[in-house]
Amino acid sequence: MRTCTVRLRPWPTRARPSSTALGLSPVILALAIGDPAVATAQVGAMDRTWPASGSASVAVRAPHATVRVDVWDREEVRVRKTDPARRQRVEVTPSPASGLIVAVEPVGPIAAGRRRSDTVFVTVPRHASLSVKTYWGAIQVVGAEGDVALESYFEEAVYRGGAPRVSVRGFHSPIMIEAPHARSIVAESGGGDVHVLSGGGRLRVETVRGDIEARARGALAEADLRSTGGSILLSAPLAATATIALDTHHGTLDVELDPGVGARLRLETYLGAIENALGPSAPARRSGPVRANALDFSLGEGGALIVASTYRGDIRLHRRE
Amino acid sequence: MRRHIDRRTLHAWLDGEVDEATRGEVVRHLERCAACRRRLGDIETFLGRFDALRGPLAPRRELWSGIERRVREAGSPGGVPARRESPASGRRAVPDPRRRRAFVAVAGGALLAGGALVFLSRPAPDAAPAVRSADTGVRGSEAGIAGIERAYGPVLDRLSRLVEERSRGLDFDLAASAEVDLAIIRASRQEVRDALRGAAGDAGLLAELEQGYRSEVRYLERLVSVARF
Repeated sequence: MRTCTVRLRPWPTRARPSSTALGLSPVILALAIGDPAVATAQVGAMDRTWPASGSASVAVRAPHATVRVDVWDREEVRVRKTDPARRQRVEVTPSPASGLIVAVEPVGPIAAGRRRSDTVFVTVPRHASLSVKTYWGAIQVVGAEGDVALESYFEEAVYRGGAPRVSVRGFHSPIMIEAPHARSIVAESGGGDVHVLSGGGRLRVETVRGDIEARARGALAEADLRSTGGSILLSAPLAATATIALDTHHGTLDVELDPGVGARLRLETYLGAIENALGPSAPARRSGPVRANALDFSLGEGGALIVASTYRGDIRLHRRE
Repeated sequence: MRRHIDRRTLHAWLDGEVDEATRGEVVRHLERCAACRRRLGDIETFLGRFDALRGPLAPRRELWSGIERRVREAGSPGGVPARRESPASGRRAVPDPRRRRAFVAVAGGALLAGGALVFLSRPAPDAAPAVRSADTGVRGSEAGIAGIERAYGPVLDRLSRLVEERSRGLDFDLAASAEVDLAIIRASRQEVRDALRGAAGDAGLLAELEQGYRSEVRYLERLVSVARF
């Protein structure tokens, strides 16, 4: 096979992502959907409200700003920004089809290696769906109860609220999701840790270097948790036919299960040990070409399946408190 | 300006991001230096190709579901069901080496045939998680490694090329972070591969190796989407 090499050639002079680059140009989008709504643009400090249009969805694109979102019980969207230096321009485009689009862009060029860290505050209707994308900035969303999608490349992305579906994506950013009513959560990071509290249902988390801590209040039906360098902790009740996969290369796997859970467990570690507080205590040394510690056993009579694998780390099964 | 113009300066000049004095020096140097004019031409060609790629690039297809679908199709009588378990697959992996080879062939073919599959979106939130089987059939390690490399190699090559082509838009910090992430993924995979050497075959390790490839594919997909800036 041809050796794959990815030579990333960073050229800082080109490194100024814009809101267009982040996937959305308000005016272009509005025109594209046949809704040439008039955009409102403003430089400097602002505090304005717009009626929440359509299905009350709000998209925020702010490459060089931190975005903080909260909710209120009004059918309006409020955008606030303190910007005495007049360094950021805010453009808001109402659109019946796609909701309110808020784009925040720096005014003038930014020298290579320089970042701007202004903060934009957005207040949305409680039931609004929300999409927020930043590059340098952090994201903090509290309370939005529609579907939520967040993307931050370097800074922390935090969601706390009652959304049914949450998706958070980052590269170097730690991720925290507290969505006790969510039935579907996806979180991806490269270098960041991921902490998730879900309502059960489906859960997929992947990170390269970070640790994963996943807890659920309701029964998990499917979970796929993967890290390469980090450890993974899963603590959740399981649906009767749940399918759970945990995989890491370097890290430790900790699984906390309810005492009465019915599940088949397949555990395997090549260089680590297995500690089992729920079933057989002496893991068999799996025979085969490559020796590994492995356990394959069942608890109760349920039909759940848990497959946990690590190359270097330990696997520990605990009773869930 | 007696020395040749470095690449970064050429890019900055093309972007209009050099000061007046530098701009004058670049112009004067280009007037008398054929080598730098050629380099400039190369960059402009590259940029043109890059810009052409930016927009309609991505017939967004679903890599994994596409592969799994083809595998399932091939898995009806005499074919190969997916090796990894899912709730719907009866949670039984395929122990037959012949089937495994067929899986690899089908998956590889699917990957090659689907050219645009490189722009594959991530698995949907409601996609069934891939669960690794612990009792996959034993295969010869070398054959198993080769099969996995055949299946994933072309995709990784395509994605790597795309990232290289588009990474000019990546921020320095993001590029550095990505390099570290990729190094970790590859080093981990290499460790598994080393462990497989000399072994007659180990299903668990082969699955671990495949997981390493999948991790890199998913990561590069995300990087490509960022590099579309």
